[in-house]
Amino acid sequence: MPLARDSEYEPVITGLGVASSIGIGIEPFWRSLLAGVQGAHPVRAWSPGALPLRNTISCEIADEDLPALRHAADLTRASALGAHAAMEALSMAGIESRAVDALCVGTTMGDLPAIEDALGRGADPEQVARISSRSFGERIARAVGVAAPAFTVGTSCSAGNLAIFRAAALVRSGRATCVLAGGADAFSKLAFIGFARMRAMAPAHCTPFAKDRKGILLGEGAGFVMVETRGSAERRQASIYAAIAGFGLSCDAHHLSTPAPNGRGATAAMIAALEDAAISPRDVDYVAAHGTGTPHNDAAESRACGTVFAHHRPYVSSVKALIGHTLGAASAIQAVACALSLHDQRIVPAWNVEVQDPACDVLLPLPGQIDARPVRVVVSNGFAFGGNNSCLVLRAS
Amino acid sequence: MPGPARVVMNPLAAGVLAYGWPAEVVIVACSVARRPAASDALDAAIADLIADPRLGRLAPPSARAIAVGTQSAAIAETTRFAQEIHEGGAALVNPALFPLTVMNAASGLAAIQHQCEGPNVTLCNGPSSALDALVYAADLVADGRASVVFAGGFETLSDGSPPEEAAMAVVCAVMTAEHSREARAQPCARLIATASAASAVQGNAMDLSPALVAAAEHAGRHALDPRERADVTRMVVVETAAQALGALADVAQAGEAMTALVTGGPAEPAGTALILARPRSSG
Repeated sequence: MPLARDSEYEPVITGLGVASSIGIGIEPFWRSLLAGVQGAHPVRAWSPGALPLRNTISCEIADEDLPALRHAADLTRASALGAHAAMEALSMAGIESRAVDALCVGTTMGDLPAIEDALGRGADPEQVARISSRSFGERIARAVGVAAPAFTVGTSCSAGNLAIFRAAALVRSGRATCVLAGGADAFSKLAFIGFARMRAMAPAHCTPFAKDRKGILLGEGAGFVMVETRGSAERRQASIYAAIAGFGLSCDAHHLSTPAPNGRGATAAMIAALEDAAISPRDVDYVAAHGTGTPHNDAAESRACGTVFAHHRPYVSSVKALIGHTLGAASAIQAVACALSLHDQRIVPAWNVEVQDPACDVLLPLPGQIDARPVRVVVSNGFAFGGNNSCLVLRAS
Repeated sequence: MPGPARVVMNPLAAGVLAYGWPAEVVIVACSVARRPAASDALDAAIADLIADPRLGRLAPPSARAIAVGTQSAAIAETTRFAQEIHEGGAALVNPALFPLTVMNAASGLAAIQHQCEGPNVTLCNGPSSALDALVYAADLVADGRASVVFAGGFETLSDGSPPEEAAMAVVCAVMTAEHSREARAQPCARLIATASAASAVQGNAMDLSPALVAAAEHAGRHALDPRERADVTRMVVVETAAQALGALADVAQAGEAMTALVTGGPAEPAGTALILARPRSSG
């Protein structure tokens, strides 16, 4: 059921928070996205040559960039990243942590790196289960002083979007007034080895939609938004960065790790989201693509965009070119970038594209060649292993 | 539409989220399966449901969704992947094992097997995971995002079960009462209301379950026909994710009057209550 615009219960975004390899905090992150700062760096988590793999580049966050990374003994790296972003979103929104009604977080494996450590120490499965995502959301909620239900979504690389959807659904049904929602994942050796062995990882740069694209770069980070009812935000005279107009979900039901080549599931998610928002595809100005930089994803996503936007070509780009694939955090960080696009009326350029792949026939906002057009509606895609597709529609507030 | 039900609770537990559904939501059949691996158990439980005549006419693939909760998720698969790396080296590990390590691998595989192209959600909320998945499923059907949701949970058990039964899945077919009538399905239980809360104080010894049930009852009164009472006549409190699965199967299949299924207990900092009732006799 589409929601009347500007109504009391319309979910709006009043706070943003981010931790990424190109900036900790909204200001440096946004500056870096617009300037094309590359998060790619030789892997920091182990010494060069320690793993017998050709891949040696990642988008990790340097420990010195985030002194608070291990500020509390019970916070693992992933929950510390999440807590940092959630705290920034809280403080930007100007809402007291005690007033938050729920916290929703998406993640791929919660505290996977901590689990890796435990497995390395020979911990039994029960001990491992205790560190796992069981209380990932609770850990973040507690770290930021939120004493409210915490929901952890484990749909891997679309999880951030699903957490935001849950928050938006709670707010627009009048069940909650303000909900913190986002995603967080820490750099993981297992994931690095996994993507390397799947031959899904780029040697040096992530180049979404480029002819020479070779795959992802593995990143880490967190993104959080404060989702609030428009009524509450307006009464507080809070800054509104964007309105959550709609969301859509689908499943390819095709293959565990390869998208349906015709982009069928991605198309279904985008159409469901636009219908939910009661917005025509013609009114979409920008698509924040899942855009991992793998040959399969970018081709299928381009085909899906061609189907959904048959009569009008919005700009399409991917922040993964700069920050790599931050897994469960990816779509949450994307949502943060989209809210900033709507607020500042600027689009993230398509970085790292020397020659566009003809199989990716989308309109790329190449640096220095972006038309000055208003940014009124943006669509943000998050896809995942399991054929899981999610699409978020945001509009200018 | 009623707003959120605010219930005054012990100040140690600050936030309560409680609500019922504006549309009547029912469970049509519930299936239990035990297999060596969690993903096989989930697959088998959904296969049983699809074959169950009580489901009536099955919705098309695009209207079939999956919402499952799990605490142990892909721990077994992750452990295996880590062991193979440890034993054979990073350069030789089987790449096909990696996609199985994500928490939503089981629900993704089940979607392929049973052509579920609608929303596909995996929640990981500790012992509450399966109940929260039922709540999520009710939200999906009430919001018109799916016609039928295969909802429940799966866990790898650590209770000394034999290897061929090391994993258990409990899955319910959730739909609106309206859809169940259209599909000629036969509901066995009705979802009335839910409440979730977290304690503000870590490690305190307060039992959240009475407050959770009170909050859910309160929310249920908002959502129910005023002639009907949401007073809970039976309360089942469980502490672990595996117990929650067993209790869900018992309560969903029994179709009793107002029963509250609650995760929590003195040692738990958070919990969820779900009130179920027998379906309306009119069908």
